Amino acid sequence: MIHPRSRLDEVIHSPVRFSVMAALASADSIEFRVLRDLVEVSDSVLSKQISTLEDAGYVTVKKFRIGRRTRTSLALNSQGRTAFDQHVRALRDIAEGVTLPPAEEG
Amino acid sequence: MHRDDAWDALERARAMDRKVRPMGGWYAIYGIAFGMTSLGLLLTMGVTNSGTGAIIGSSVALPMIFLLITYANRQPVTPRGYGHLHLWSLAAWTAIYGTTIFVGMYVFPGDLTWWVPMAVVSALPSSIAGLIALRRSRSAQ
Repeated sequence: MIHPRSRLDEVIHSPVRFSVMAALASADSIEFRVLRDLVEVSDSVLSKQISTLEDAGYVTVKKFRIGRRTRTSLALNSQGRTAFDQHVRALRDIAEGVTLPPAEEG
Repeated sequence: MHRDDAWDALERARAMDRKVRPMGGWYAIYGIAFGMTSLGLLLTMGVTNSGTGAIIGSSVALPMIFLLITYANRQPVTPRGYGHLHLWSLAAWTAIYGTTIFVGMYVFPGDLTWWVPMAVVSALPSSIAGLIALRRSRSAQ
């Protein structure tokens, strides 16, 4: 039998990145400053985690201007949403004690 | 990872969802205010049945729409499904508004039995979209 922990996404597994993904999964987009307050981390920590998620192809970053200020908007792309949904499904299976039969070869 | 850790992670995700969703509730204000602006504009045009009425209505509606667009652009969180919802409501409003003006001008000039119901109908797409966003902002996953 295969334990569902093998289906956990290593990129999403870190607590801060999991919170970032959970926040972004609940909206179409969130500004950086609001996400920072939601996740309760510093600007630099969030920037680093966002870079990791961006490199993994899960998060899209957009910069835009409102008046004189430049704002940064963050969103999950379709690959990120799929990865987060699969990660959450694996967490549910672990929580409920589900184990899966091994995949058949061929 | 143990079962307790998995439950904790799931609970953290749910808690985040509960915090983020209400932040998209602003679209209800936008949608309903846009609908009321459209209602007021078409009523003014229909009741006055004159170019002056159209100018007066537009001079109130255009700054109002500008304010609403500015309000929307300044929101830090766009609600889940915003893109489709906004596109749908804008397309429906454009079709209703265009039909009301075009048919009203040529077939029902000054006829309130056309202008009043159509003004109300023009307020519906954005108001319904706003109410859908409000419902989504209150329901957790």
